[in-house]
Amino acid sequence: MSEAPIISIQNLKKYFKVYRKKPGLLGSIQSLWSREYEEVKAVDDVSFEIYPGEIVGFIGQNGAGKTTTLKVLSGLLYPTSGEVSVLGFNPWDRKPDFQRQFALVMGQKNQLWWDLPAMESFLLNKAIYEVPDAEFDKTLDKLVELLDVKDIINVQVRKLSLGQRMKCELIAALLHSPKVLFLDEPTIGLDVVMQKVLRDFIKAYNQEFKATIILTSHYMGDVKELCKRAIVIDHGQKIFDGDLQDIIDQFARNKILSLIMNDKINQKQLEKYGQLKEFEYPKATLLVPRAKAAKIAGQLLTDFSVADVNIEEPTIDAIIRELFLSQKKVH
Amino acid sequence: MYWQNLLTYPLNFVFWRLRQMLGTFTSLTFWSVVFVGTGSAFGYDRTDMISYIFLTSFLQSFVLSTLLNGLAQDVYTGEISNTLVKPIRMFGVWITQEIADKSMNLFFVILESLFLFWVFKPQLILPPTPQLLVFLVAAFLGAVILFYIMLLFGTLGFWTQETWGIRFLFFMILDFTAGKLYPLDILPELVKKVLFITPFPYLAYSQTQLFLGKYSPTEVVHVFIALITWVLVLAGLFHILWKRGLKEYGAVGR
Amino acid sequence: MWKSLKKYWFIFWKFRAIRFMMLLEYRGNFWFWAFVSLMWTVFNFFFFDLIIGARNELAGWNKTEMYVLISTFTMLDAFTWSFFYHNMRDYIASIFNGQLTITLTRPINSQFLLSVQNNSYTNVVRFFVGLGILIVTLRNGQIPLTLAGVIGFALFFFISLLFVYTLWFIVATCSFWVDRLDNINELVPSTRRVWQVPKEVFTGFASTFFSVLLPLSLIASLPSEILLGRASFQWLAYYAVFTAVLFWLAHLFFTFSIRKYSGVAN
Repeated sequence: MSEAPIISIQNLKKYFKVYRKKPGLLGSIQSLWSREYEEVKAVDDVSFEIYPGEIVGFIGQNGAGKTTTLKVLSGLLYPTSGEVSVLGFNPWDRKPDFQRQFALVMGQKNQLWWDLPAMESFLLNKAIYEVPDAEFDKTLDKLVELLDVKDIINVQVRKLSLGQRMKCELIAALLHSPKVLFLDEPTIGLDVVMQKVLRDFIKAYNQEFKATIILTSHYMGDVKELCKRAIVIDHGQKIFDGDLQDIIDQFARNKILSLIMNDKINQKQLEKYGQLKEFEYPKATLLVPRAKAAKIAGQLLTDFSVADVNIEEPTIDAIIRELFLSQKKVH
Repeated sequence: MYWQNLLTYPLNFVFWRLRQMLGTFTSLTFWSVVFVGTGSAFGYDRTDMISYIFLTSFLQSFVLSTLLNGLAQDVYTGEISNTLVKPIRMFGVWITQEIADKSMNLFFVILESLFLFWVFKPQLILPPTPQLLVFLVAAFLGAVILFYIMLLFGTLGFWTQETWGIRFLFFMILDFTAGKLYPLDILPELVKKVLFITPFPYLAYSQTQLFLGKYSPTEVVHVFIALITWVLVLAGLFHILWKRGLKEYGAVGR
Repeated sequence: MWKSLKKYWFIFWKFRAIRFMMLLEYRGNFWFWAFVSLMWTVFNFFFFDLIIGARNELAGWNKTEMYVLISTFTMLDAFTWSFFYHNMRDYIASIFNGQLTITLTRPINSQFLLSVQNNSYTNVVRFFVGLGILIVTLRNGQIPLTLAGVIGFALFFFISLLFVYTLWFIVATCSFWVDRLDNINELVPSTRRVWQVPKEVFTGFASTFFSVLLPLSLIASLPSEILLGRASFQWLAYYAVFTAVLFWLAHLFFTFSIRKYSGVAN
């Protein structure tokens, strides 16, 4: 990657002041003239660079600082300190030239007009983003085809399903062909099928439009499928930045074996094979070392009569928890 | 509990009082000007009119209730089920809240009135004790009438979500017909006749007239008959509709 | 410059079109509110007619002049409910629910977008009722109309709209700084009773307050005075400058406030 970074953050800090109320009537009266504030370090000294065309996953627990970082990058929040540059702009200046080149999609917020067909919202965005007619038609055609929504863009948004709505939200956000795309929990609340559709779309979009994408998500699936690189944030600090596979190899030492047994067996018998997490006959869940997972599964199949066996990756939360735990040990 | 809630958001309350006071202030100024250079108009002289407006604003703050504005919404969304399952009776909750709200408002109205009193210096002569008592009882009944009207609006929530519009319409009519802006007896005879069949004049106008001693004993009796009739009618209507609504509730299973 | 003006103009009307489509969607609502608005107008005229009928003048304004004032007020007030009320309500709501974040990322002046995206059509009738009564009154009262008078009226009608808008926008922007204010959007409309009476109604400190410090009493009075040929240049100049400065302050206050805005925790 010899190109210059498209996004760069140096020592970014963002602190909030939060007001604490004392309990009770007395506290309420007291708060009329004196309020106690507490400083929350939402982002505390984070630096990274992102290069054109990358899809980067932003991982962290709730309140870790993911959304705050995205908001700083979008020019919505004024950083407490640090250098931020996106597409060569300082986001906070909120220059229209900058705003025309990126998009922020938040899973829980919508911009479509509820009572009108999505097409009306598209046309409004066309005017706001000053998209030329020819380009608008071209982009719209392509997006509609990628998401397969030809029949629904002229139907009132309130009559659409959640998944269809999300597709239209994406189109509305992407009509101006942004070079940089921030996706905040894009798949929240969607069913498994829709999640997959959206993931495929994001991947295709990245390839087709050469857009740089930052994605935050709770779902391991999203990040694992889309992002080669991941940045993990905890308590406002960056604790990992690199290949996603590295995290998995390094911290997901275990795999999960879910079994459904035919035989009546007891706990003790199973504990020999690995760490027994759950046991409620006929179901059992075992944690086994990653490398030996296949072998142990085979052994179980020969030793017992097993109705069903499944080898699963641990959830992102489990892996991140491992990562956090190891962090605490270091400190 | 309720007072504490208010103090958490003191600005809310300050704004509310500010708006109320601005209304009174404009009315008083306006009427002061109307009477500049004349002894009397509409059978009122200046002092009468200022006292009148003064009293109605005072009454408005006492009678008016905004507390139950959210009731219809709570009913519609099923929020109210939470309270319904609690062992306290719904009605008791409403009444306590209402009393807390009223006492808070009353406290501030008295403060504001002292200020307005100082500015406009109305000649308020306290009526003899029996007359004052009659006034207080009538004011209380007025508050009860509005309380039931608000509850009835809340009941609408069982059937529809769109109650804001109708409530707005009600308050608009109330503005012009309760006697807050002007004494109702300056209206043409026909309009008056129609108006006195509705509950509106009994929410502020009648009470002030009682206070000012403008009614003859027979008229006092008439006013009280009207007040009590309205309380009974509205209360009855509310209890019937509320029961019906609850049944409907159960049927829909919200 | 020309191009961006064209863009803003186009977007302004695009929103009107969107709202019109929504109106067609909820026609019942429209009729109801149009009815309420008309009722209010009738009540209001009725009330003033009653008073003027008995006194023939109010604070130095005779019957004709009062009618000019009240119809001007009615026309201005149509904008209060059709335009400002809805936009400012949405603006305040968007601060609290975080929807504002989307507006702020758009390549367009955020204040403009927040101020024009909503409207209702329920008060259009009211505007024309006001205009109709104004024309009839001017005719019957045999008030000579000059071209300059009409242009001046239109200009100050616009300045009054700008004044009301700016004041309202400042009040709404206060929402950034407080935890929760249920009825902050009702604050400006609740001062309407000050607008609709002649500015001479207020005396002493109230006069200083409502004409100089916070010139609410000039909103309908000044445009009417122009039509009636009794406006004084000093007042007009003061009001225009005041509005311009206030508009500039509103802009500063908004820019300053979004700096503090962090959105809803999420």
